[in-house]
This record gives sequence, structure tokens and C-alpha cells, in this order.
Amino acid sequence: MSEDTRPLTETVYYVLLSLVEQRHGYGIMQYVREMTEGRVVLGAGTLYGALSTLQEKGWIQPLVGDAGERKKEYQVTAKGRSVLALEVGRLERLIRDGNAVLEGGAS
Amino acid sequence: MSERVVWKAYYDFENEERWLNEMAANGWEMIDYSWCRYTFAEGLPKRYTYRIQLLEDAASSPKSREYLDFLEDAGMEVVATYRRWIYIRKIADGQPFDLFSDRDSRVAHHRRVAALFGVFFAAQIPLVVVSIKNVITQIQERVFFSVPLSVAHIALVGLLGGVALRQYLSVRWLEKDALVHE
Repeated sequence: MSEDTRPLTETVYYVLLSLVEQRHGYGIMQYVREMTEGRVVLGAGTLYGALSTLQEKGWIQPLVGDAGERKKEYQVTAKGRSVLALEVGRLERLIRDGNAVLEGGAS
Repeated sequence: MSERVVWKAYYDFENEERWLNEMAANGWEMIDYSWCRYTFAEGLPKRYTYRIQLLEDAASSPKSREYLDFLEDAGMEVVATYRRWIYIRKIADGQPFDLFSDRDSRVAHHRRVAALFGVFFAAQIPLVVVSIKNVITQIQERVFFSVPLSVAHIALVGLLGGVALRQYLSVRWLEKDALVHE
């Protein structure tokens, strides 16, 4: 089976990044907003949809919470982590290509 | 704290949302909704931002309940629900407050609204044909008995069809953008 190396959406990318450590929904929104200095502000509807999709794909999983803790927390799975690593590699390649052309004067 | 009830019929939720935010800007905060009936409480001007969303299932379904809990946990208040529609508000904290922050989820929502009105519009087409025939016949025979009713019916279906069309155009516009931007 070949690895899926298609680009991730910005929403998925930042949700996965935020879930390298366990977080609940609101925590994800805050973390992403702070990390991107307000550039990426996840809408609650968008985030909720992304969390469902990522769970279906097995890239993240809900954590079994303590009794009385209503807020569901999530974390990336091993699969999710490897998808993230592949994406970071792909983005590095994009930067390298971009810099090679813009700074190296390639023609 | 005084309350105020306003009866108003909106067929376009985007205009409805704008109106709720204008009311909130003037210190009238919506606290309940049932069919065409809005209840407002007097509060502080510009304290809340309101949003309206159409869900996939009835707001009372378990799947929707889970989403509503999620919204509450994320600092939003679900003010009212009506069938598949939900009314949400959040304290205006200077941060943008949108339920959807990327194209895919915006497209999905526009599509959902377009489908709701589109299905109604399609189902009404045969009845509209009957209404149009009725108007023509009555004008020819110079009996205008049910002309106003038929005209009102045609106009109403036209308005609701217009909502479906506008939502569909939003989908098209957003999808065109997908050729260039992530």
C-alpha cells in the first residue's frame, strides 16, 4: 500500500499539530490561534467536522476521560503522527524549491 | 430586565443573522425563538455576536446534541433551536467569530441550505403551474376570486427558490476559488 502523500488542508495540518499533545476542542482553537498569531482561527463548526473526519481516518483518537469530565480530549495516533511528518517533509521540499528559484536565480 | 417579542418571517438566514446582530448592537439580545417569533431581552449593546447554522439532523437528535455540547464547551451559548436550525451567540471579545473557517466546511453549509430550499422549490413546481394556470383562467374569465392567493403562492415559492439559488451561487463562487487557493 502506497502512502497517501497528498497535501493536507491547513485546518487538518494545524489540528494534527495541536493534538501531538492531548487537548479538547476549545484548547485546539486557542492553541492554533496562538501558534499562528491569529492568522488561523478555527471555526467551531469547521473544527468539529475535522475532528469527526480525522477520527474516521484513524489519525486521531478520543481519550477516555475521567468521570465527570464532559469535555472530550483527543490526541494524534501513530498513523496521524506519520501523516504529519510526511506533510512537514513535503512542505520543506516546497520551501527548498521556492528558495532555489527565488534566491538561486535558476532559469 | 425588560423583554420584547417580535414577530417576523425570514426566509434567508443570512439576512436573519444580520438583523439579530443589529438588534444585539442596540442592546436587544435574542433569548428565544419559535416559528417566526423572536424574544429579546434588554442587555448591553454589542455584548454578543449571533450566528445561525443549519444542522444535518434535527437539533434534538443525539448526534446534534453532541455538537451543541461541543459548542457550549467552546464558549458559545446555544440560544434556541428550531428543527434543524440553531441560534448561537458568543460574547464579542474582539476575535472574529465564525462557525466556519475554511472553504470546504463553508461549501458544505451553503449546500445544505441550498438543498433544503431546493427540495421545497422542486416539490412546489407543479403547484406553481396550477397557480399560474388559475391566474390566467380567472383573468380571462374576469373572475378574480382567488387571484391574490395564487399570486401570493407564486411569489412565496419564487422567494424561497431565490434562497436556494443564492446559496448555490455561493457554492459555485467558493469552488472557483479552489482552483487557486488551498
